[in-house]
Amino acid sequence: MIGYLVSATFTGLLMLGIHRKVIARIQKRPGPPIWQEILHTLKFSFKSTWVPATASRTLFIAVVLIGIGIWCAALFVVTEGGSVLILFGIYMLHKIVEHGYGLSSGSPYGKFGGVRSVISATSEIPLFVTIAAIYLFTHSLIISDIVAYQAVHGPLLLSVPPAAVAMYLVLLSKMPYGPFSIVESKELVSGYKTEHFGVWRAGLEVCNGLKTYVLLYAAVLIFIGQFPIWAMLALMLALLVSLSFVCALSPMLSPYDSVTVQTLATAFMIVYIIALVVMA
Amino acid sequence: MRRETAFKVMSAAALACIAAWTAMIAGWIPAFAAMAVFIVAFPVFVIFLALWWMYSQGKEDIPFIGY
Amino acid sequence: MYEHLMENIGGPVAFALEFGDIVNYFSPYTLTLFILAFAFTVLAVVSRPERQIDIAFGGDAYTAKVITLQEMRFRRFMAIACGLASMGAMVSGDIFNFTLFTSMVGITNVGIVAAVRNRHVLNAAYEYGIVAMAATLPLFGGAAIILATTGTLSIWELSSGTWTVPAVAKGLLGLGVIGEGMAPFYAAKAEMFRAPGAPYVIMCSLSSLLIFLRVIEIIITI
Repeated sequence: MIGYLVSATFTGLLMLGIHRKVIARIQKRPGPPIWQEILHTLKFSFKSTWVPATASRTLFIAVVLIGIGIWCAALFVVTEGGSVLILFGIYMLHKIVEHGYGLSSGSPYGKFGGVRSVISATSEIPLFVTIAAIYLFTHSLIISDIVAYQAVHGPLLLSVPPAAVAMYLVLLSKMPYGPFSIVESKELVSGYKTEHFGVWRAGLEVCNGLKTYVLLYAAVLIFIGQFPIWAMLALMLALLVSLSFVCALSPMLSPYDSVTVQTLATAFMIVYIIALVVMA
Repeated sequence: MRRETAFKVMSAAALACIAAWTAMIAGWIPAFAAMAVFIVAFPVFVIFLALWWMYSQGKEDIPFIGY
Repeated sequence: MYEHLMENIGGPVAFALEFGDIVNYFSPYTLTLFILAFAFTVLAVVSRPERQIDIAFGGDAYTAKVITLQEMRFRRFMAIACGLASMGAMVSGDIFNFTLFTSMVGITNVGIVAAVRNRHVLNAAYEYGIVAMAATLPLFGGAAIILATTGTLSIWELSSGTWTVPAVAKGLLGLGVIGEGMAPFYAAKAEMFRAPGAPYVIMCSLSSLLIFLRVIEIIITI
């Protein structure tokens, strides 16, 4: 289990590296080597570290620990077949962690990153519509039940395609360099990450690695089904590359446009759910 | 914080993880208890491992305020 | 699949405390939410606020905001009250208690930023207060309709499958919670986060996320 946790972290970081590489190749740049994010994490962990003089010390450090902790919990929920609601609760609470990163330092850039992360809270709403759609079919939100349902009835991707699209949008809004990643946009230096340097940044990278792994794994598990680990990894990679294509080819939206697009997606999903319920 | 403190906290977290893992394999504690230990101890281990590698006595600085 | 319908949603119930027909319970889901609410409340208690730096536009100048201790004491009190209200909302097995805790979250959220001496923040808090106040109508209305049609407010009872809760009641309950600070009504709330005092301000967004997460569970369960 410890081995799985550590390898999931490194796999997630490697996937982020592949994400960067694919984006770079699409944009005709050489791009960094695919293990760049792993090197980043190690590099940051060797850099000199302190807490900014203006920061709220306890919160500044605690959010890093909470960030890694919640995604460890999410990994266990996914691998042990817990409730999908817990996973998505953790996904939403990641917002609070981002918020904590941004606000705890007292830096204006971090603060705006944090405020933007609150504004982009719409990105979570499609998620719950997705859950409702899944529940209408499976009558259970326990991941092991969802997997069992798919073993009998075929993948949910085919039975509820709009829910899969909504989930895809949710994944996209958490990928770096994507159209919705307004929280780390370059006019804010590094957004909410600006003041977390050195060891704190290494912790943040570990959290990002775990998050990427868990979200891709969960998306494959919930919409396609359970396979041997190599097949899971191949499917996750395929999903990741498709996300990288979207990220490479679309510009970053302005904060309000990003919220509008996500709200429209939610509205569409709500209409779809109502239609499903009425037909049932 | 001193480097020795960081090392002590890191080792304590690592020991907690290994102890919980062993106890789970041996069947002394249920899996969810071991997971709870990992969830608490793993972040502590990661951060303090890095702090042990590198914790500067550098002076505190004001935040980044522009180029 | 579990026998009790509720356990297919938040996981097997680990602990239940009965008060007549009202059963307060911990499923892995509500337990996770409770622990997070608790952790952030402890953080609000133990951490000191940050000193916020502002840049003056058009130059290199920057200013540090000065905040009085008295103001911070009051805001910390409100943040802790907010944390307690959200913890209550997480464990409550009764829809009426849940709505009460939810409206208390709304009140304390305004309280957390009400002492800040900043025009933008106060305007935002005022607007948020009005939305939150208006949202209590569908919130309690939803609970009232559930009671009127089924005769019970216990989530445990309602989830047993013997009752049919009208969809309009679920909708009103959801709308009420959304009005307490989720999309699309959080626009006013986002401005409130300009206020200094990160450990307290975080409780604003944490509490509304948590009650939203809980109401999703309740709506699917009943």
